[in-house]
Amino acid sequence: MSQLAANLRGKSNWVIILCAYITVYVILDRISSVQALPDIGFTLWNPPPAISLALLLTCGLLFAPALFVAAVLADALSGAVSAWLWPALASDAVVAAGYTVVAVALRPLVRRAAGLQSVREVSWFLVIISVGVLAIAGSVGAALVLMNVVPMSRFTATVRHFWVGDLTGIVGLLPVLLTAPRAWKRWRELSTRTRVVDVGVFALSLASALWIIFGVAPPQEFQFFYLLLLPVIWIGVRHGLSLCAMAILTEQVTLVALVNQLDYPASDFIAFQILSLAVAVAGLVLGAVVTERLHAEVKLRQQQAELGRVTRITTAGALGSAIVHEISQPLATLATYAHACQRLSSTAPQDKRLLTETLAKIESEALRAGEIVERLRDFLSKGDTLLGPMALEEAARRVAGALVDEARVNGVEVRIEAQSETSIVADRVQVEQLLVNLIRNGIEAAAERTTGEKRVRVRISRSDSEIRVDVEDNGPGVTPEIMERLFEPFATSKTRGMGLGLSLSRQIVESHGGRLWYERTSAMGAHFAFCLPCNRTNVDVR
Amino acid sequence: MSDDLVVHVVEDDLVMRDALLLLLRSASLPARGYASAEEFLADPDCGRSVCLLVDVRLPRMDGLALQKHLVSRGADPATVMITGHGDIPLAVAALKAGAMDFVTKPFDPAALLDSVREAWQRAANTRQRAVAAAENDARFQTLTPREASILALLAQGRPSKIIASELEISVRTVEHHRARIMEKLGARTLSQLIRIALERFG
Repeated sequence: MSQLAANLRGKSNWVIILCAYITVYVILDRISSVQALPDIGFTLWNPPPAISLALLLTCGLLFAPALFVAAVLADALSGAVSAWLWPALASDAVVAAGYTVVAVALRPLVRRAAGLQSVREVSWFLVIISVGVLAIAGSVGAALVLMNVVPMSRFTATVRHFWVGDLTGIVGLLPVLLTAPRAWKRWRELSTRTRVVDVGVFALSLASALWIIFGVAPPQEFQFFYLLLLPVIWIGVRHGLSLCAMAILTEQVTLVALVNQLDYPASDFIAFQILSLAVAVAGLVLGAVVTERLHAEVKLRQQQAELGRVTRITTAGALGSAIVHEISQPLATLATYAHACQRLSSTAPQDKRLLTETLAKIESEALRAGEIVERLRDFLSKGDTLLGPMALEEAARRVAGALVDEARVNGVEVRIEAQSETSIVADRVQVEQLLVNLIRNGIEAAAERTTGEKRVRVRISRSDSEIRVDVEDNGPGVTPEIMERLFEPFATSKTRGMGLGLSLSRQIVESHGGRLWYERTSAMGAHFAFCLPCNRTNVDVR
Repeated sequence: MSDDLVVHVVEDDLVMRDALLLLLRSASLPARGYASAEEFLADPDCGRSVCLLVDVRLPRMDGLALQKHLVSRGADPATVMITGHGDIPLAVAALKAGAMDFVTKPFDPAALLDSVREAWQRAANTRQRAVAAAENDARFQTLTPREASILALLAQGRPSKIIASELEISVRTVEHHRARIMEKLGARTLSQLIRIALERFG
């Protein structure tokens, strides 16, 4: 919009703008002349001032004199000037000056490229226009009374006529002009199906409402007037302010044409116009509310996307450091053994047994490094979530089976208890990885116990909406220092561990729409718990 | 004198510890391994000046805490810390706590050996100085009270005559005592004796 304005403000363009404005103004003035007051030509539906305001708001206040020129030209062509030259010139001057002031007042609301979209802006817009047009109507009325064109007794009626006509015209047309680029953008974003459905619903409900009001209801037309709110509400709720403004204008033009065609008296016409004004105001405010909500939604989605990106980058960085961290230990060990072998082969070449032993150690350490790389690769490839039905209890037993050697070496007993049926929809590999992390942590912690029974207990329970898994060990528990950074990468108390297990576990649980936390219990040992939703809808498929 | 000096390796990773011990022994540096700081502190040797190769990351008491603990007990350990890659703040903290050097994992074994040798040399020197000081101490213990007071006056630069008059004994007796003192402290000349006395009495 501002770009359009900038283009239009170009030096060579101002003549074209001027000519276009005056032409449109004069044509609109001619075709919108309904229920014109005799002699002074005030009409009950007067949209041309909307063109004037749009010109001043988008192309600058320097075009203000054009308002006067256009009005005089329109009057001349309608024959009003020949009858009442001076009064016509005077009222045109007052109107041009008045709308220039209104434009100045409106400028802050539409100066921004995305102007006129919040409820606050629309409310101020309506207040400024109502008050501004009333002031102009009063001034013009007073001028005409002073010049003896209008008798004092007709002052109020004249002002009312002017006010209703200009206000409906501006409220109907100006929002459309100001939000046209946005309406076009929104329209292009819609699918053909949405376009057909929404325009169809709008047209059908408008036609039905008009048929009821003017075909069925007479002589109680006004009782059913608010049926006209329905088409506007439909478009407003679906598409927000810009397209709602279009709907309001469409409805207004149809209504004016129909009322004019049906030859209602001026008093009824004014009532119709005031009611249609109410519909327009309601529609604009509703549209603004919906636009605000749509913007908030877009913003929220952007923020979520940004958050997700940051999380991914952080995770990638964490994994990078994890590889360095975890691999450096076996690499250092390998280099140390190898260097020792070199020295031994020169200082103690006769000790073949020591050399052979050390070489075997080098081999097993190299294999261990390979396993670490393999494990990290599994973690890295966890991006492809493959959802499927799985039983948690079965998975826990499988994991415990895989860790049985580790448990036996450390003298730890792993017990699995399931209280009910435990099937969920989840990524089996990821959930098993999660269980491996938690159960292995438990085994390692319990192994630190020097006396008594060492055990890890896994309990699976189910509520209506989620399955809960508790993993408890009777090891030394989590120290306060570690507690603060428990789920952060590298918060580890172990030498052979990258401190990634819990942070990745939490990622796995959260990507399944669940929660993982450390349960504070008074009992000795660590107690971790996680919940996964049972119903499929909560699962975030990435 | 430092025959019993060994490198104490405190490293909780079994394989890494084994590798380090093998490396040190292959370089003819006697070494002894411990799985934790607590295990090392249970060794009676830990109170003496020692050569320490310690992983900064240990369960419970870490390498840094161990270093601080030894320093607070008056020991002067010659310590080489092994830190994780990128653990620069920890390495700096280790140096501030009095560690001699640090290596980051994955380290170059040859460089590690150089660092440990230097630490070992320092521990050996410290121990040698301690032994020399202890020997001196033992010699001074053999002086009689009278000999000690004569030595103190000698250190103040008094000639024998003055000492004799101050102690109200004959010059001959002073000369006799002086000869005994020189014999006991192993000084061959008077100037050597004065130097030993000055070291003793400042």
